[in-house]
Amino acid sequence: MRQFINQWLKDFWQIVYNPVFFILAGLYCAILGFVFPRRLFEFALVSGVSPLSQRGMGNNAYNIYETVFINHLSLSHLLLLFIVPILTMRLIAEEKKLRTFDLLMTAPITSTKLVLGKFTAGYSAAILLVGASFLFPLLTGWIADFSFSLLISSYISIALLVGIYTAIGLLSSALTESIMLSVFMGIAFNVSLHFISVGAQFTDNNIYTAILQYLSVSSHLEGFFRGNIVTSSIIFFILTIGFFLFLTQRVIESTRWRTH
Amino acid sequence: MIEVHHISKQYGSRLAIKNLNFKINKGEVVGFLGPNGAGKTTTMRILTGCMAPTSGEVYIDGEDIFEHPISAKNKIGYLPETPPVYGDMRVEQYLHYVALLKNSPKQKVKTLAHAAMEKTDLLPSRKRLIQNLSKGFKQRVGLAGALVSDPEILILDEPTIGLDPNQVIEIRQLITGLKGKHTIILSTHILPEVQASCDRVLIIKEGQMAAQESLSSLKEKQYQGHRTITVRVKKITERLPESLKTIQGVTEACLTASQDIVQVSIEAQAGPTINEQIAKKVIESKAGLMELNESFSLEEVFLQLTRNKKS
Repeated sequence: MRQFINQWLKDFWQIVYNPVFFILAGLYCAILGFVFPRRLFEFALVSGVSPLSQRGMGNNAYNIYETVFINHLSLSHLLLLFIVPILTMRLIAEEKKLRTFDLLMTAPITSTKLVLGKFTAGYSAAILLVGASFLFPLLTGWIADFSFSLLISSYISIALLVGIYTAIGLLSSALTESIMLSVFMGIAFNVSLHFISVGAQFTDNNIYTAILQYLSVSSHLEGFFRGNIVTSSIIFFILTIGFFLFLTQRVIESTRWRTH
Repeated sequence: MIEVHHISKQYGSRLAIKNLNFKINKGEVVGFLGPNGAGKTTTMRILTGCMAPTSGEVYIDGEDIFEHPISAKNKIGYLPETPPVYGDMRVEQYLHYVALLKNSPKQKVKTLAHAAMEKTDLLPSRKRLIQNLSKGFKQRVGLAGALVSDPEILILDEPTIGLDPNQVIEIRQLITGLKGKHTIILSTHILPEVQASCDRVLIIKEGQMAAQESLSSLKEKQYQGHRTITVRVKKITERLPESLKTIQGVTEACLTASQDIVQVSIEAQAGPTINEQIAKKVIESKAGLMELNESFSLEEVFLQLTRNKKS
């Protein structure tokens, strides 16, 4: 446990205490900060009332969620799809490039602890950004009255999705010594996750269709966005994270495999 | 302490190391020699559990490093060719991280880091960012990282490569200072380094063991081959080289550029009294004997051994 926490804190500190993180977080907040108020005021104009006057108007709560928050979540998610691989790019690829990976490989630490420590570090940094995005609707709660339950369920899905992106980013980082290649691979994997269900259109087999649809991230997100926290979707997210972490662990361990 | 049984490593179709076998006892300082590309780093990486051999076993204090990697690695401190340091960390912070990574008890981390900095003379630089340190200091930080958990075994891969002469001396002194406290494997292709710090040498050539002997037995081996004696005189006389050539066993005697030094080449079979005979000749020629030196050159032994292997 001590080694896991040590690895987590060291990697988290290295991700966050870095100009790249500050630039990314700044850009992320700036884009969200630019778009969110515009959406909010557009909503106010269309609905004919100022956001301030929405306090106590329960019927409008769904509208603000549909028109403002869903867009905010989608934009936030889109940005994270590109940002998370940049956050995770250094985790293993740079260690290999700078030869600090030898230190990890010769230390008495299991590759599982190593991978979990690195994943938690990347995930914590990504969650900071998700948290920053949550501040926008949270602050809107001061001037408008709406139900937070839909928002919370949506943010749970974003947090789980970011977990998958982090695990994918870590795998991409483990596959190469080039941090740029790691970013591109991470983005490509992340994008492809959303297009798995497209494959269902090319098959008549019901079993394949069901499998492909289950594997599609988008179909699981929809439920959360509608406020349905489905156990099978939570299991899907956790299993997917576990699957990519397992692959990362295997990639690291493969350097110690015997080749005959 | 370290037992290596028949290890081989194959990269694709190329066999990097072939059937290496050796044993290193507790407290020994062993030089691992070989030309570039001989397979030294590959062997070091296998010994540290960083890489698996294609075949063979490595035992660290009786434990197979691939069957029980955690307990075996607890006993090893490794300094690779490029020191594994993080530029964005401070020296002390790095050593705390490495100590915890190496499973040191949390309450001992500060003491261990302090001791490692003391040994490597890094205390004045403890708060400095590693990226701002010179190459020699980075090497010291790497060495401190290898030492921080106070391991029984230290494996140092080319620790002085790329350093300036002053830094080389500092690192060499540091390694000599560690003698007796740890079992040390020093991998290098710089022979005087081994001569200065090691008890025994393992010479590897093209992935195969060319020799594994103590420095004293290598010295004897050198005496079985070609020998060179350097004679320094007060005043050179023209007849001196010629008169030295008349001694039985002397094959060549020539003046060097400094004009007060004569180098005498001797046959391998020449007996131990040959030094006495040379000294006598020099005194008889009234050249004024200042110095007579037959130095042990590991470099020559190394060349001899590898040459012998070739033939």
